[in-house]
Amino acid sequence: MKAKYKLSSIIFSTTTLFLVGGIIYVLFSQLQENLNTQNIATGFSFLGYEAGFEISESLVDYDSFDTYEKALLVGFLNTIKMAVVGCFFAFFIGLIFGVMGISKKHALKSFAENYINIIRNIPLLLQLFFWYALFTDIFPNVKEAKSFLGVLLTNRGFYFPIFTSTFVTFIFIFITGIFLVGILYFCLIRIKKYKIPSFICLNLFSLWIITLVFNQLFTVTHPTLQGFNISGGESLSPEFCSLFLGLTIYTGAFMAEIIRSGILAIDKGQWEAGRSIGLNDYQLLRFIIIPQSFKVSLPPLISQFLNLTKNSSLAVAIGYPDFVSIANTSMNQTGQAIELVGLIMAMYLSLSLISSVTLNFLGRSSRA
Amino acid sequence: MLKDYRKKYFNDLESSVASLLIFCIYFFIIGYFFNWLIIEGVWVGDASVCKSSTGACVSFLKEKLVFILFGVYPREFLIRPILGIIILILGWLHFTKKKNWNNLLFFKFLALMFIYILLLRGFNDSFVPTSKWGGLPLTLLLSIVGIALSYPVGIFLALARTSNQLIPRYLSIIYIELIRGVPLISILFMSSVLIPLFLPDGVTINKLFRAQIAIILFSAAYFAEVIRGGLNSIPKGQWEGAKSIGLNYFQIIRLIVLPQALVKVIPPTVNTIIGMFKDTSLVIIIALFDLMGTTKASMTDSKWLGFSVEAYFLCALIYFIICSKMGKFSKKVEQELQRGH
Repeated sequence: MKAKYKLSSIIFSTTTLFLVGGIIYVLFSQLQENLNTQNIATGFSFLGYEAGFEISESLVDYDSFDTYEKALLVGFLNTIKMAVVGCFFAFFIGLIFGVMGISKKHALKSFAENYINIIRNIPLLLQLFFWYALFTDIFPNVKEAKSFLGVLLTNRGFYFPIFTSTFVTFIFIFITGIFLVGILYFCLIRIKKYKIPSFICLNLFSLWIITLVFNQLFTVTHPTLQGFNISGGESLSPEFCSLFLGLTIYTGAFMAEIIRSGILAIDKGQWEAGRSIGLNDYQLLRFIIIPQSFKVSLPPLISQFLNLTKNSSLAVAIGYPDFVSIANTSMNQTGQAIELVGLIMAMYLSLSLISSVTLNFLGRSSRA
Repeated sequence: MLKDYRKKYFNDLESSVASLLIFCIYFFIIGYFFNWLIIEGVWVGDASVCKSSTGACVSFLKEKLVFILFGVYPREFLIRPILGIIILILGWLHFTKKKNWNNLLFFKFLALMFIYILLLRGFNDSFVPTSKWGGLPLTLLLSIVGIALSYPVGIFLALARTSNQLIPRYLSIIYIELIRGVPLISILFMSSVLIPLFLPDGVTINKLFRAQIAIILFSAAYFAEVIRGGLNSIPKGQWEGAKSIGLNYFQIIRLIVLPQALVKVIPPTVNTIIGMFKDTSLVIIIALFDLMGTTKASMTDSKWLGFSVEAYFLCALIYFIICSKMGKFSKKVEQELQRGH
């Protein structure tokens, strides 16, 4: 009986294998034939050719005389930049709204629910178009833009003042960081009640003081209008800003839902035990509930990070030069569709592979 | 009533402050929106009146409403897509009733799909080619055909992945992880650029079908993962019990396991459908005119330039109504299933 079952299973397996293999073989032989008749050369040699198109923003030096390889590298770095910045802020949005979603204060809870509900039910692409339209259609042009605390919002992007030397910028960030950590420590040790409000107030106050002192000590370049352009300061392009806003707000809503349900999955006894040893709500969340809830919500959170990275490929619709968008341009120029689609897939697959390996590692270490 | 609200929002000092803050935000948003749409909005008048006002241009939406909803579908046959949408709404009302969840459901769904396609396509002298389909009917078509074809594929993939047959299992794991690892855009590019290369000479596939194939390939992997969760949640006792009364593998799957597993995963299935419905908007990137495509196209009219925000609001409203309707259904089923345990 058992032997018969095994025989049928072997037959079944081999038939599937032959069927799938056969389909793939037929498709690829047809592909080969079509490529031969259309005289399309295959292979990755085109990567060494001159790209000939400009890229509006880049983390490394690039001009149109560089190769396709360099252009794709620029795109890859832009994708990574968006993914890192986006994941960081989306997580914070998710955390804030997730905790708001379980609040006993009804107004906060309903606000978080409304946010999650509205954002999750509108396609991301539409939100991206909307933010982009906000920048290009609604925000004033550079001549009419009014500066607010040295910051300019125009249809050419987001401008903000910056210290003239990068070394000073580093010192500024370093000292701010030390102050913030110090305030956090002070809050945790000293002030028992109203920890979050006092933390936020002290933070804002210290940031203001540090900025003021640095403003006096070092020279700052403010973005100012000169002729038809804004010079000085640092700027972010409208494409980057709208993609960033769209991705973080969209993914933040999903993360909020995940974090909220992770917190709800924690046993009620944990809350009661925490209260009985005299912790307040903030301490309870910070030391008992949220650390435990991450055990539940880490896998879906990581898949959301991955989703954000995959969704950043929608950049092609609003013209942010990410990997997919540059691969698309190269595809139109060279006609090497198979190789470039393959490259896109390989890139995203390797990212998801890395993240699933990390996930396994984290899962193992948290269980141990 | 008032007391309830007082207790909900102004119970103590902290919650009062929080409530006031949130109400201020609501007031600001709603006030701004009200001002933009009603007080300063232009409800009658042409583009020149709109341009001089700072509010919303509703007359632009009035002018373009039919185009945004139906694209370039011939105006004399407009009744057919409207009829199709009404049939879909009736179908939705029918399918969401618990007493209709039986074996016939899927066949009813297929029948609905065919009626819908026939309505859009028409016969001999009232024939409308697919290149003229657009707007909301096209978005609905992409999602409905997507569901109808990728759901069975998803079931097969899930069964293969949970079976003890080595080769089908690995093939399905490779397929599912490959598809889930890459963005939909890359699959759409692949289908629009590569499918023509895979076909023999003389055979061409229309752009709409290529996009449809990409959506089916993509969502099948997601359905498979959802259904796999359901299959794994069926206790082993069910399998053993079924085996002991002499059922073979296919009978067990068809009669015992699948009916239980599929009902258990209705909430995540509906969530996947919502995701798919939202994702159909990406076909705009390969130049198809679904609801999003017609919305974008409506802004390029040289007489009515610069009213993109209004058009996006209308489009977002339509997507929001449909998605939140499905989301509410999914939540309701979830609660019912939890109560059942």
